[in-house]
This record gives sequence, C-alpha cells and structure tokens, in this order.
Amino acid sequence: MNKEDFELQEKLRQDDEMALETLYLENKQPFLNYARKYNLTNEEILDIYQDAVIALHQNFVMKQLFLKSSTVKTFLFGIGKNMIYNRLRILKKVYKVENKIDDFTEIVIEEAQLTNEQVLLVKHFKFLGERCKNILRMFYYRNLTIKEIVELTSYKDENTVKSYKSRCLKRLKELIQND
Amino acid sequence: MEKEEDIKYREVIKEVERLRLKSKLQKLDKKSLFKRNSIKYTGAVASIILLIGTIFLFHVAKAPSSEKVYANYFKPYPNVIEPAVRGLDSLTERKIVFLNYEKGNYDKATEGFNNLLKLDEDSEIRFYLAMSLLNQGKENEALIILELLSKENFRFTPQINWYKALIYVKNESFLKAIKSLDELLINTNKYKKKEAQELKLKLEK
Repeated sequence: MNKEDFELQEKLRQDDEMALETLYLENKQPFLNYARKYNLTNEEILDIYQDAVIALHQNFVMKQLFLKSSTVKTFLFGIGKNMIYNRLRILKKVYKVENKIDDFTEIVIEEAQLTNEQVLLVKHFKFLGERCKNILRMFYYRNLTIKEIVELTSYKDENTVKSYKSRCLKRLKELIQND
Repeated sequence: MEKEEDIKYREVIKEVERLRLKSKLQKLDKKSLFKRNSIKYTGAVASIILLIGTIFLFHVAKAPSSEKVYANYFKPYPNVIEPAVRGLDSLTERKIVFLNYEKGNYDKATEGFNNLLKLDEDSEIRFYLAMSLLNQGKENEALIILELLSKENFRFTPQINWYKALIYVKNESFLKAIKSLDELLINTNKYKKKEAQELKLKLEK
C-alpha cells in the first residue's frame, strides 16, 4: 500500500468528508467507464456509484476498516461491481451479462433491513436538536466511546454525556409515539 | 456484546447518514458539472458553447418540468373504504375521518388517521394517511410511508407504486420512478396501466 492510500484510509476512518468528496470525484469517471460494459443506463450507473461510495465510507467510519492488501479504489470498485450485479438481477437483465472477468472481485456489503419502528425513527431524527444529533452520531455512527466524546466536546464529564444521550433517545422515542 | 437497543439505533443513524450523504453527493455532481462548464471552455470555443447552450435551452424550454409532469398526473385517490352514506347509521370515528378526507380536510384527516393507527395498525389506513399527507404537499413524508407499505402486498399495491412514481418524478429521481412504474405494470390489470405506460415512455426518452 502506498503512502497516499494509507493517508486516505486514515482520513476516511476519521469521517473526513473532504477526503470523501475528493475520492468520489476522482473515481467517478473511471467507474463510469468501467461500468459501461454492463447493460445499464448512465443514470443507473451513477446511482450505483454513489451508493458504493457511501457504503465504502460507512465501512471505514463505522467499522474502522483497514485495507492491507487492497487499495481504496480496488475496494470501491469491488463494492460497485457487486451492486451492479444486484441491480441487474433486480432489473432481470442478468441473463444478458456475460462472464465479465476483470481486475475487481465482488465485495458484498451487508445491509440490514429496517423495521417499521426504525423507519419511523429515521423519519423523526431530523426533528432532534443539533446537539442531540451530534451526540448520537458520535456514539452510534463514529463508534466513539463516552470518554472520547467528552474529550472532543465541551461536556463536563462522562456522566453528563451519558445522561444527555439517554435524554436524546427518549426524545426520539417520544417523537415517533406522537407521529 | 452490543445491546439489541444499541444495534437498533446504530442502524437508524447509519440510514440517516446514508440519506444525508446521498443527497450531498448528488449536489456535488451538479456543482462539479457547473464548475466544469464554466471554467474549462473559454476563448475560441465560447461561440460553440453559446450555440450548444442555445440548443440545450431550447430543449429544456420544450421539456415539461418535473413539477408540471407531477401536476398533470396527480389526482387525489378517492375514498373507497368508507364512502359517505347519509342517514343509515350514526357516524363512527372511522367514518368521520374518511368524510374529512373526502371533503378535502386533509389536515383533520391526517390527525384522524394517525389516531386510528394508534388503536390498530392497518395498512389500508396507513395508505390513506400517506394520501392525506400527499394532498397537503408533504411528498417526502408520504413517500416514507409508501416505501414502508411497498414491502407488503395488498389491494393498494398498484396505487402505492403509482403515487411513489409520481413523487419520484417530482423529486427528479427518474430511475426510481421508472422502477416503480415497472412494478405497477407487473401488478396491475387495469389501474393506471395506460398512464403508467405513457409516463414511462416520457421518462425513458
């Protein structure tokens, strides 16, 4: 792995969205060129590319992914390739796909199916205040510990963070009950 | 080991972030396209750009906007559950809610459908809740419910696909609109078949 790729991975793990934007723009055209051989429209390919970049980013942030034997680009294209095949299967175009051998191995990203309650929680999340959104995001998305959150924010101590987080979750539950 | 409750919220916030990032990347595409068009070509090619721009504008001016397409096709879905029948019996809460819906009192109907759903989960009532929201211009809130209902297969499934397609058109998610229309065309014998075929053709142009 070269130094550049190593640094990019580090930035992605730190949830650096500037790095994500650069990655997105730099690989967009190569991905569109690569995916052109499949029986999909440009709009479909772009939609898949966006989903692949997001899945990659979420893996770095949430799972603190560390790629040893592959580059970020190879990983991204692997995810994209898997998503292309999934889309072709949905569109029932898979029979038109010949066995395309290339440099990229399909990488499957597990996606959980949300329950009805979770869909409502997603819908109401936007009604929470910014402080609540941030604290929940730091804890659940960035996987930071309560101690790390104290260090990164102006909360007095760990107990304050814990009780604030509980209040935010309570508020979110109330919002869906009032739906 | 992580608690079940934490897993639940982790998935919720992952989805919230996914939606936020998706919208961010879509905006980034529009921005980069604009930048490329405004910086890259100068001098001698300016006249060509002008020509291309004129042709482009001509086509854009001719093409109906997404909002217009939506408005052309959108019609409130009728009350087929509790049609108003005068003087037969006293009005139940359910009938009052549907009466409000029928009269176009969509805010009251929304409140009523929400109350009915608190008593008992019912996909048909939830469908009408989505319709009430849609009639108040709350497309995105309606879409969340319609997407949720898409997972089931019941008598309003073709209707759900139709209204989803219209919202997607309004949001300019044309690919998703086509997908919903395809699903509608697979599932419907009659409902909106002609309109769906016509709209699909327009979107695929």
